[in-house]
Amino acid sequence: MTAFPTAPAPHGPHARRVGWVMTQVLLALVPGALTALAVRGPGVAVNLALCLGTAYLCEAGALGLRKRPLGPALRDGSVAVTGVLIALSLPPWLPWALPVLGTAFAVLFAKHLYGGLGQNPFNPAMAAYAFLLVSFPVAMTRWPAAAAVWDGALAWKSWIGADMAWDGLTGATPLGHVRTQLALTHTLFEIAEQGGPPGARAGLLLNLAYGVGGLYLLARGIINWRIPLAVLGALALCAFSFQVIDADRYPSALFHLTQGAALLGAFFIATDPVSASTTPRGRLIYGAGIGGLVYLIRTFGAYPDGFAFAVLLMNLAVPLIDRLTIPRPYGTPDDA
Amino acid sequence: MVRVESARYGLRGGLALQPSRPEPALPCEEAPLPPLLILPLQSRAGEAALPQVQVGERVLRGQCIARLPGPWDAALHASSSGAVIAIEPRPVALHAAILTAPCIVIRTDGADSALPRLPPCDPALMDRMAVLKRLAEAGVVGLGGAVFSTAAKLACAVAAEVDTLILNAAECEPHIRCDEALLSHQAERIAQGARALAAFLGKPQVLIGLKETLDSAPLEAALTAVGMDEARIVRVPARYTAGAEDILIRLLTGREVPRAGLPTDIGCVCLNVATVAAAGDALLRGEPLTSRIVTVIGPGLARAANLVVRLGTPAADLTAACGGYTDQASQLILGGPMMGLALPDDALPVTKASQALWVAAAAQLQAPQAVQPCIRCGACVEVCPVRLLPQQLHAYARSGDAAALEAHALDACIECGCCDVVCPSQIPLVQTFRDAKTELAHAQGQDHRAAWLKSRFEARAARLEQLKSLRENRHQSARDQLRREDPRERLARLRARRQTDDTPPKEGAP
Repeated sequence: MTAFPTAPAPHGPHARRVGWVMTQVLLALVPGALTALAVRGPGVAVNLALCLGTAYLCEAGALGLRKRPLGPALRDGSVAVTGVLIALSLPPWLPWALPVLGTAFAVLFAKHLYGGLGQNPFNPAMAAYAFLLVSFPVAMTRWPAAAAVWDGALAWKSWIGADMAWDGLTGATPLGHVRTQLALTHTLFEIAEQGGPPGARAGLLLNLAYGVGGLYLLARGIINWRIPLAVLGALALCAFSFQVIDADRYPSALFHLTQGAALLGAFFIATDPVSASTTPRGRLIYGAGIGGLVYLIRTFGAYPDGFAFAVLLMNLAVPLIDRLTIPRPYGTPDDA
Repeated sequence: MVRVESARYGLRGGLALQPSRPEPALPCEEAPLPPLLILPLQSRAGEAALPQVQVGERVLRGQCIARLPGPWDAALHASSSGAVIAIEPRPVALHAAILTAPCIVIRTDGADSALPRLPPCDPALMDRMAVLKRLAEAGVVGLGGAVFSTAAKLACAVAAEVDTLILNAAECEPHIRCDEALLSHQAERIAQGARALAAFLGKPQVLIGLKETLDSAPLEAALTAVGMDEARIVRVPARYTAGAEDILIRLLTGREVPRAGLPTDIGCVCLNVATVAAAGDALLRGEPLTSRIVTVIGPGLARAANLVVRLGTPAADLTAACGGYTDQASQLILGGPMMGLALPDDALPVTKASQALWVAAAAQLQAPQAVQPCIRCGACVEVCPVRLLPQQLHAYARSGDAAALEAHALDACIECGCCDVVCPSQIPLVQTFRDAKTELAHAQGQDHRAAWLKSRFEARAARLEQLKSLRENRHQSARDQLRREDPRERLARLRARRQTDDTPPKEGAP
């Protein structure tokens, strides 16, 4: 008689692990991060370092306080994704305390206060972004002009928080520029005649780079097509409908899809599985809700871009969406 | 000509676990007669069969050695001739666990002398009771792993007047290739069994769900030879869970078995091809079930083969017949990677439920990993063949929310294990669901009792209420009658009554 070890079924290798999934997400962010570095300067790298460092420190601290083992949670990579997403959303050369504060808020409040990985109802990166935007509106909307981001002295002054460093050297984002000009009763045609919004090319490049990463995630099966498609589809549909009504006042769908946080948001932020809807139909509704809210905030709201608020608002709706979109199980009549 | 077509209805979810091209055929051969046969008296949850023989008694192949009292319960037979040397509890593989069950142990004498065959019992000529009785007496059970009595299943199918007989040849788990051997070497047994069962069921449509990578030619020829031209062979994807009964039924007919219902509720009866072949043997040749085909396979063995095995043969005799273990042998699994049961040793016997013996190498397995929290990624939703939300079920099972579990149809879970395999957090989902089902059933058991008591109380209250209202109705109608009556008539009536019984009227005159 030969004895053998036993194990419960199923027998065989498991497909993938959370750590692997998060690594793939980080990998898919590389083109976007490199492009950001190119168009926004070294301040992006500084933000990345600050956010990642703070994220890991806070994660370790929170786990220690909660008396949880450090190893598995630090290795699963989820906290790195949070840190990187925050860093990529922030303006370069932001006073150093802000990235640190925002990341700490994301990890300690948005994640661990709710019970850690898998339990947070709100997207931690977007919670941090909204927290910073509401608390430090001036600093958070001060994007240095492309020419100034490589100026070391100015950067240093801004980074240590000396006021007025960028005076006269900040530019609006393309979305912000269009918004201001429209508010001054210029038409889109006039804006285009003046050479279009400054930085539109950089914004386009950046969005394309995130799009490439997003397609990689789709191809590897890391994210499902439903949320990104619904976000971009709803955004495009809203933009197109309004453009048809008045092309002088409402920018095209293409402009909306390639500016601001559109593709970063659709592929990397709205798809955060923990805080998103988890049913197939629910994901379409959730994504469409984000796309629609982003358009509303951009067009009629108080901020030039509204991805963080759109995501957080839809996060609130997730429990309801999930409950209302339970698929019909096998063997159940349609009306049940 | 027998029609061969592809499945008209789609397969939802599931896993691609096997190559999409035909695999090289395995040799199919008779396993050598083992010195010892261990025949468990229990094959499913429930009571054990009663031995019909005593220790020391000589038995012949095909002799009934144990039976259950139910009319459609399958009997158990000696699978070779020899002497009963023990009737004692031994560890056996029962469904999804190793349990200790009473077993009859036979030391074979090598002569393999058989009891004379029973006379044929062709359903075309015999009445239905005789056919069901024969199937039970011949020990025919579902050989696809469920080992449910075929007589009981068919009795149910007859009662429901099913219109469709489905033969399951979908064989969807990797390493299980016993039906493949049956289809390529003994297709005529399947065809004869199918014809007999179709005659028994009153000529239903016959659909054969055949895995797309298997050759349909031998089966087509065999069906044509027995005049079953109207049968249809439907090619089904070589994808895991295509062979699960409920899933195959939807794949072939588009019908869905109701939750907590049976295939007969939607006019279907589904039998594994090996079961159909065994039923044919029992009915047309009078042979009881004493052997089955078992795939013996894996890198842990010198060679792989499909073996025709006497029931009760210990696993060790089968691995020896395949040249013994190699250095790679690291686990002995009864069945495939998804539903298989890891055996603690190779002394355990093959039963009617055993389809394959897979000697896996360490590289094919994975050391258990630490469970991580659910990140709601939804990978499990994409593979669930019955459209459940395993991630939500898991969350509600953890919080013990019975109402939410019910709303998310926990009871529809077929425990196929697809969600387990794709979960990036390595959560043992199916185990969680089994536990939750047990708990729910327990809670519902208590609910049932409470509901029963409540219904009894309410029935009594309703009865009393009814009596009361009946009484009131009677009084009311009496009063109404009084009111409607002409006063003179009434006076006359009262006078008449006084004259007859001399009792004064209770009511005064109006």
